[in-house]
Formats: sequence, structure tokens, C-alpha cells
Amino acid sequence: MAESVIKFNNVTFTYNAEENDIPALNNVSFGVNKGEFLAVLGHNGSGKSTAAKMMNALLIPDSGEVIVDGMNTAESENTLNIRKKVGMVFQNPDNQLVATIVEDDVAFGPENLGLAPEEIRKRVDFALKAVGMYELKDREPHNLSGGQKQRVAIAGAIAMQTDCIVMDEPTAMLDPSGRAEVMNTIKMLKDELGITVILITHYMDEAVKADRVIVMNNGEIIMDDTPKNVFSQVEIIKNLGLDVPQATELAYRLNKSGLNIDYSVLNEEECAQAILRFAGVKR
Amino acid sequence: MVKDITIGQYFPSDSIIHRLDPRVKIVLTLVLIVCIFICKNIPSLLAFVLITALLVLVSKVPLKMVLKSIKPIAIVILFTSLLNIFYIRGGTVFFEWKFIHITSKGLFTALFMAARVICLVVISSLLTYTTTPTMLTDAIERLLSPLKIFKIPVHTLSMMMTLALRFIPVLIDEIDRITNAQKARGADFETGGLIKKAQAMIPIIVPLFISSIKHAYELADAMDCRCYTDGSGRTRMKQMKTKASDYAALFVSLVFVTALILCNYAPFITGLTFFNTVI
Amino acid sequence: MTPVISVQNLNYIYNVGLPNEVRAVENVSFDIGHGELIGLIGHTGSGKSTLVQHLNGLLKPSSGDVLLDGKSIFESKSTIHEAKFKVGLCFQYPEYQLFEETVEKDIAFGPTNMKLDKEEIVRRVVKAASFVGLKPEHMKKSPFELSGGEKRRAAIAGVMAMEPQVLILDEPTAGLDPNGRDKILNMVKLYRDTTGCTVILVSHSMEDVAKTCDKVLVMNKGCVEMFGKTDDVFCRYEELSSMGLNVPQVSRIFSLLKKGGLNVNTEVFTVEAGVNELLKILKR
Repeated sequence: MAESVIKFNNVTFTYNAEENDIPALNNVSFGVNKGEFLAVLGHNGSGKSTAAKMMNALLIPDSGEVIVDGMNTAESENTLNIRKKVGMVFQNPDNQLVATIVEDDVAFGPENLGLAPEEIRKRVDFALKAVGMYELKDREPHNLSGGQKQRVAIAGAIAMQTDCIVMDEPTAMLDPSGRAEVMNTIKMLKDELGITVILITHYMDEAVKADRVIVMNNGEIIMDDTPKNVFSQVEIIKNLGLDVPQATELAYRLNKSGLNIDYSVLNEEECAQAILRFAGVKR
Repeated sequence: MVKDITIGQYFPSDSIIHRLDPRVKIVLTLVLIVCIFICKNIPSLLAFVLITALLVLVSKVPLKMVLKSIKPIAIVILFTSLLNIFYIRGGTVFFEWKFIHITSKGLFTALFMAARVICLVVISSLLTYTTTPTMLTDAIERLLSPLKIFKIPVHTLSMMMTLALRFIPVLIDEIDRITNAQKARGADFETGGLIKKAQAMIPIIVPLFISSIKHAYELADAMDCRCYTDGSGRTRMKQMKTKASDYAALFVSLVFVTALILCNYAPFITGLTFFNTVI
Repeated sequence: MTPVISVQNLNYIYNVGLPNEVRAVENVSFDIGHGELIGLIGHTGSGKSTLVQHLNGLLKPSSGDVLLDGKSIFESKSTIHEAKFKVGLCFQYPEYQLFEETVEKDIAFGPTNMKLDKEEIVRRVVKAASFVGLKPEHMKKSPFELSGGEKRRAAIAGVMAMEPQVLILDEPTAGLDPNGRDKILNMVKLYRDTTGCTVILVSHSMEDVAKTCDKVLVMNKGCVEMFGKTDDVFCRYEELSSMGLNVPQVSRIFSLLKKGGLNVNTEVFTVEAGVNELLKILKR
């Protein structure tokens, strides 16, 4: 078992505990392994965003604990060190860019850490090149597309040299090409920089690309497995108000109609192959 | 209309003016603005206009953009100039008809006023065109840092300025979007008296207010995540160094200011008083 | 029969005469019939948002015309004003337009601007709210107490309550989870089927359009590239891909099956149709 960078131990949390008795997170336990790409899938109000905010001490559990790299998030002297480890990217690209020039925004985090100017410059240039935004470093954020803004936000986290980046529905407000930009950047983070990525999403086509998927519902973890094993449970996923890939659904429904087709398929190639294999057997 | 505002816009380039220390630029801008009001005769005004034109040229900011900064106030300038021309009496009378008098003094006043306001706007927008907002707010923070002795939160103020500059375009887009959405529901912003017009703004102001609060909360979270505390212990990527060129700029302007003062207030330069108008 | 909307040689140019001049809509002409449910697709910047803002008179064309029931909407100030009520336009993320103290009052904003009498306004508000599935207990609440999906539906009800002949929804499912998205799409269908009104659904998602619409209009670089029955448009799969649109995954599976030697009909755009087609072939 690989070591856990982030660990949730029996975490329970309720917003406005005095007037509200439905917990947003109910006795949740899981670990995030170093270097993995973890997708947390769930519909709105399933508790997935609350879990995300626990990961860098924006929220503190009512009971249970969240441990980041050996540090308990409940102890306030750890807060800054935890945030150096775990970066965050939010849904609305406009609400997380602070400066009026792209490169100044990426520099914001390292400047807060009190680094030397030359070091900051080095990190900013590296981060902007990594996300492919170096050419646009002198632009103003409001002249960028949604996908480009999210890439700048990701560069901001890279420049802090975080081990982990938590993305809270980073693509919800983007068009298809913006979503593709963000997904390609996530792949780069994992493959080239070895950064652990936690992607909170309700798009199954993004979760499919992860190493591991956690499915949440009513503040609890329903499933925690590989994408293949999660999405082949077509009925459960659909009952949770989530989508399965059309490829999986097609194979699943053919299977239920009495054709012996393997439905643990995630993409069009796998699905086509499964169907062709079946057709070949039949001929 | 709101989109015409150019204050706070930056034009990337690498001119001498772009490279000056922003602190020096702010000080020089203030000095030049004071100078505009020292000019009381035609030669000094001409010299000033020339210097302004020279600065625009050196800054490599396209003339079109500079003119754009004057556009929003062009009508005000035109209107007050006409008032000055028609109503101020004194000096030689060129034209007289009923209540309209065109006199030399009126013409001079109008000319001076227009030239001064235009120079003022051009010089201050040149500052923002050649300096990134981040550098500008940084420089203001540094220039004002002596005020920290009086417990004035200089850093917080400059951070607020940066965020305000960052969110102005976001909010302008939002106003546009909300206005269109309410127009599509038949809202009427054009007809009716002042009170009715003010009431018609409610469907724009309420959503704007609510989304601003949302922006603020999310922004606060994002800043927390990026280890922002209170600004103490913060460093800067872009350092400000006063270079030889900055001292040169300071020196040149000192000479210029002295010359201006002399030609306006020194009674011994009698050759120039010939041009003096009585303003 | 006269089409309900007829767009004729419409052109719209931003920043006329400036170096950054943009031809957002170029020489666009098409007719939309009564009661049609039309999907309008195209990637960001294809001109689809600019186009729909002409249909209710919010933007004035640089040249060309929009006819509503055979009459130009740009004839006079009053026809432009009337067009807002006859063609209801609901923008992307419409929850930003909510501002009243109660949901009820907010939905009534449009009808009130139409200067209708009280009973009529009440009738329309109740009807619109039931279409979008808002319950009576929601109506007295502040719109800001609603959940994200409910806010979205309340805002759409605000446009429906004007009872326009044509309802245009710009990306009504943007940012919603699958549950919220399905609710909206079903609601759009139900609305068209019960009122018989024309609906235009602007969307990025070809999967949503395939599930919902009878006809599809494809915009690319300010021009109408295709306009026709959903099946006829979606089978031009390669062309749509090259315009940067994502063809439904089932369609891609079927073209792979064809390449793999299975003799299938490749004009399949929904899972439903795909299952039926394959059962027909494989169960023999």
C-alpha cells in the first residue's frame, strides 16, 4: 500500500450545527495515495465539496480528523504548512485570480511564502511554461478564456510547489474546449510533475480518466474503486442521479437484454471491441 | 459607455518610460500635474504641451489609445470651452451679438482650460498605460510606507486597490449581463422621470450586490489557500530599483520645473511678460 | 403557413471600422415553424449567442431583418419592445437575474412589465411555476434560499410567465449535475408538448440536443453550417467534429463498429437507438 498524503479518519461535519441536523459529511474515512489521480464523484449536495475544503483546512471536522502529511488540520499552527502542501483550484475562474496581470497572479502564492525574488521568478516561469501559458504572461486575466484562467490558477498552485492539488469542480463553468484544456493539464500534473490530483466533479467522463473514483452520496462514501469497477455498477450510479459513460450504458443494456457482452468498458474503443468480440463469437 | 473608461488599463511595451521605477513615475506624474497649473503664459503652456507630446511619443503607447482616454471627457471640455469663449469678457472684442461676446480673454481662458485638462488626463493615463496595476499599487504602498508609523494599514489599502482594479472589468461584464437579462424580461430603463429611472435600477443593483458578496467570499477562500495572511513577511517578485535613468528623469524634470517657475513668476524675465495674459 | 420566426440575411458586426472588427453573424437566413423544438449548437464564439439576441430585438442587426409572424420586429421602438414579450430569451446562468423578495414576485416581473391585470399575472405565475416544478411552499420564499437547481428553474419560470410564442433557452443546463440537467431537459420537452410553443435550445452538448430536439441548427464562424432534422444533421459526423463539436459517444462507437466489419446503421445518436439497432442485428 502506498503512503497516504491525505487521510480522513471518521470525519463528520455539519454546517450551522445549531439549526441543522443533516451532516454534510457523515463518518467519512479514506486516504489519498501519493501521486495518484483521484476523482470524487457525486451530485450537488453529496458532500464532495465539503470534503475538498477539509483537505487544506478551509473547514475543520466536528469530529474525527483530517491528517495532511502527518499534520492534523485542526491545529491552527499547522494551517500554513498544510496549505503549502495542498493547493486548491475552485469552480469560478474569476474568483481566484487576485492580480491584474497573469504572471503577477502566479507569483502571489510564492510572494506570500516570503521567497527571494529570483526564486519566485524561477518558479513563476516554470509554472507558466508547464501549463502552456508562458506566452500570455503579460495578459490581463479578464481577457483570457475560461480554460486559460483555470490554467493560470493551476500554475498558481504549481508555483507554490505543492505536492497535491485539489480541484473543486474546475470545469463546471467551462465550455467543452475549456474542459479539455483543464483535463490535459491534469494529465500533465500527474505524468510530468508527479503531483497528486484530487478532482471533485459531477462529470463522469472526467472521472473515467482517474486512477481511482470515490462516489459520494448524502455525506457518505458509497463506492471507492477503479473507474471500471465503479461504472460497471450501472444501476447504482444511475440511482444516485449520476451518469455512466454512454459506452458502458450501451454494453450494459445489451447485456441485460440477454446478449453476453462484457460491460466493464469505459470508452468507445473498449465498447466497440466488446461488441465485435461478441458478434465474432456468434458468427 | 462604462467600457470607455481607460484608467487602470495597461499597454505592454518596453519603452524608457515603461522601465522607469514606478515610484519615480508616480512622483513625476504628481509634479507634472502641479506644473500644469503653474503655466500662466503661452510660451510655458506650449512648452508643456510639447513635453506631454514628447512623453507620449517616447512611451510607445499608440496615439489612438491616448486619444481614447480623452474621449469620455471630450464633451465636457468642448462645452466649458464654448462657455468660456462666449461669456468671458475682457481684452480685445472680436465679435458681439446680443449676450454673446467673443473676446481675446475668453479665447485665452478656453484655450488654457482645454489644454490643461487634456494634458492632465493624458499624463495620468500615461502613468497607468506604462505601469502594470500591480507595480502601481506596490509603488503606492512603498511611497506611503512611512505612514505606517501612524498605524495606517498601508499594505491592506494597497491590496484593496489591487483587488478593486482586478474586479472592475468582471463587474462591468456582470452589469452588462444582468441588464440584458432584465431587458429580456421587458424591464424599461429609458422612460420615466428620475425616481422611476432609479427604481428601474433595482433589478440590476440587487443581483450585482449579491454576486459581489459571492465573489468576495470565494476570493477570500482562494487567498487563504494561497497562504495570504496579513502581508507581513511578504516578498515581491518584481523589485523596484532606482536606476541611473530614474535619477536622470528626476533631474530633467527638476530643470523643467525650475524653468517653468522662472518664466511664470520671475519679474526679471521681462521679454516673456509680453505674452502674459491675465488669468 | 408563415414561419413564426424568419431570419433574413442577418449580419452583425462588432466594433465597426476598428482594427478589431468582428463579424459575429454573417449573412444568416433561416425559418422556424410554429411548435418546433430546435437545438442551436456551435462552439464558443460561433455567433450563436449573438444570433439569439437578435431574435427578441435586444441587438439591432447591422443589416438584414428578423420577421416575427411575418412582421419585422425592428419596425419601431414599440415593436422592438413587444418582441421581448413574444420571444422570451433566458440567458446562460439565469439565476443571476433573480432580485425580488419572493420567488412569486420575481416570476411576476416579466408579466408585470407587460402591464397585464392582477388575476392574469397570478394565473401565469402559477402556471409557469408548475411547469418548472416549483412547489407552492417555494413561492413565498426568498429566491436566494433556493438550491442551485431550483434557482435556475425559478429564473426560467420568470421568462415562461411572459407566455412568449417562442422560448429561447441559452445553455439552460450549464454547470448543473446530471440530475438537474435531466430535470431541465424533460421540462423543456413537456413545455413544448403542452403549450405547442416554439422552443430554441442553445447548447454545447450534442448529447442533450440529440435526446431533446426535432431539428438542429449548427453555427460555425458566424454562419449557419447546417439546419435540418436531428438525424440528418448528426449523421454528418465528421464535419461536426471538424467544427470542434463533440459528437455523442454512441455515434463514435457505431462508426468504430462499422470499421470493425459489423454491418450497422451509423445514424445512431442516442443510447436508446443504439440498443435497438444492435439488438436487431445481434439477436438474429
